[in-house]
Amino acid sequence: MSDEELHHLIQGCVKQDSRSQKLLYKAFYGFSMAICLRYATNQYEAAEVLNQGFYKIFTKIEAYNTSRPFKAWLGRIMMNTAIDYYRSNLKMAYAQDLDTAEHIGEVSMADNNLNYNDLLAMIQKLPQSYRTVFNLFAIDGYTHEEIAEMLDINIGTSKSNLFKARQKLKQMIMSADASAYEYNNGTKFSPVVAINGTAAIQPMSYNIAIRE
Amino acid sequence: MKEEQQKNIDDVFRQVINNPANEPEYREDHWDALEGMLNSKKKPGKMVYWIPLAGAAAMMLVALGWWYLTPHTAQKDDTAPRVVTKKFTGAGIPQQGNAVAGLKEDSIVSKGSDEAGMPSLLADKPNLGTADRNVGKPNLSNAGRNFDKPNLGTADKNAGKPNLAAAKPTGAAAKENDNIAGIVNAVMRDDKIVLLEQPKSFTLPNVGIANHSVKPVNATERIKAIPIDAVARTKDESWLKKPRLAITVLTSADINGVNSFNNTSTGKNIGMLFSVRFNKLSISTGAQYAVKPYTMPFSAYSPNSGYKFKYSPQTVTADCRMLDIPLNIDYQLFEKNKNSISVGTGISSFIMLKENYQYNYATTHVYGLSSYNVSNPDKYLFSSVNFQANYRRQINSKIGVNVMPYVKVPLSDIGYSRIKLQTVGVAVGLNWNINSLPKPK
Repeated sequence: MSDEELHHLIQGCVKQDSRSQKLLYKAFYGFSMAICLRYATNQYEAAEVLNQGFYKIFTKIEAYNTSRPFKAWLGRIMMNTAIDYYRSNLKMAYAQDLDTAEHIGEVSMADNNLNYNDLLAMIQKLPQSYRTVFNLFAIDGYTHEEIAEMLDINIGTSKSNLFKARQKLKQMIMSADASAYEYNNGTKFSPVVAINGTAAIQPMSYNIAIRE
Repeated sequence: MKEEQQKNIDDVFRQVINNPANEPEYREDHWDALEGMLNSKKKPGKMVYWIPLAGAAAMMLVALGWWYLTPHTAQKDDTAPRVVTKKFTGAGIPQQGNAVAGLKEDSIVSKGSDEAGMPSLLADKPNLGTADRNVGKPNLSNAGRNFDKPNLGTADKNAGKPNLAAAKPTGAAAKENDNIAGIVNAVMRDDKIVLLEQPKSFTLPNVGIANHSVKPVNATERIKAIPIDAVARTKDESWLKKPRLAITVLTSADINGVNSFNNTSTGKNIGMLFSVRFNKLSISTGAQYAVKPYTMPFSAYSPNSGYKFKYSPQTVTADCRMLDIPLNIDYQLFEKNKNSISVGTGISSFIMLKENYQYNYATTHVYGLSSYNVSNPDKYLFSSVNFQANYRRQINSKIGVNVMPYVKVPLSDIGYSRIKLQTVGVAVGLNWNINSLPKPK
């Protein structure tokens, strides 16, 4: 989509034109859903977070500063919506002493053949607090200081959650490798990935305040 | 090495997850859901008709308050009781100043016999405690000052020792009368005179007023004190036309339950009520900030969202913050000394400020929606009926304390979860009378 087309769509959305809204939604659905999926526990919740995010965008589109990239703005709104959606659970995670955390053996990442769905499923299997910190640090590139501020947690908690997230991911990768080995040798089949939600999300009431 | 491997993990995830080629495909049903949300937002809100209604009620209260707080001179003249005296059967005490004003025989509304008058029982609030000392001591010049001080009491105690000197009767009057007939005190009201007291015959034989010699009085008959209720009645009548306005600051703790009180949670409220009291009836309204937590079985949770849980939670715990706007009417059953008790009913509307729902699953191994924040909650007009009792103790003429047990019975569903929430609780409050009250008896 060219910048001019995007500009026209945004102008249409400012006028609450339903057709423009749908085209914009369609154009950025994949990008936005990918963000929501890795912050959410499953596809149901990802779809709900996605629509909450777009709802904010369509009802507060006039707040968008056209001098900034729209995609980045959209991405931040989606990320913040997802964080807000799960915020009540985030503080429940406590900072466990890193020394006492379970140590997982080293995993070779070079040889595995994990695809997007495999990795997404692993992220979604992480506890909420680990998943959020891992997403923010490893994928979105925030520092622990920024994460601590965004989630209103201690820097130590952020580091601890990241450490434990990595440990769990390693565990899952090792399990996936073992399953793949057994499958290849004809001994066992246990797929790692199972994402097949088809929930119909109906209208709900959402917060219209936009955080960037 | 360890750090490198961790970065390696991060890189693998970043590269794969952020690869645009892996982005999910567009789904029309997700757009339909969002479109529904957007359309529902465009519908006119329930507050459209509610706001002018609330505004009109507030303006009426303000106007009413203004009207009654503004002094009305003409009205005061009409309603202010005046002490009047009347001679009976040729008896009486002369020189009683201009207290006898506008008295007409045909305008007297007597509530009993008028065989004889009783000296110095001051009009609206006679000095009930020392009526005996006033026997024979009309001292009507003080009538106005003593207007608010009823003094009734052991009238027979010193009945034989009236100090008639103070009455300063003329010699002519003393000669003319062997008996001191009383002076009937009355209240002027709407061109009629209401007698406050109809004492029985009271005879002081051979009282030599002129030479200040007072013989023992043969007053075997008790002087009947003015019935207190008669005085109170006149007071109440005077207040009929002037409602009392009051502001009450309330705080309360209550117990909330969905459909029943089997599973309850404790809530708290704080707020302010404005009330207008007409004699025994009072109308009050205001706003209370209410924190209402409650827990319900998932079967009772029925939001309109259409969201389908993959795994059904066992229970749902709600934390709701709302404004409770009551409109109550109370009837005063009892009032004695500084204490009063009233009962009342009313209706409450709720403006939801915040709603949060926590979904509790049977096991911790279920991945499901854990909580939901309703961030643009709705308003619920006339959603519950209130029943309350109110014990009030007046500390002084301005300040009183209230203790108010209450029950709220739901009329309609409230909240995102659409439940019938019932509440029972006790409120305590501080009451400030805006316009003055009569002194507590």
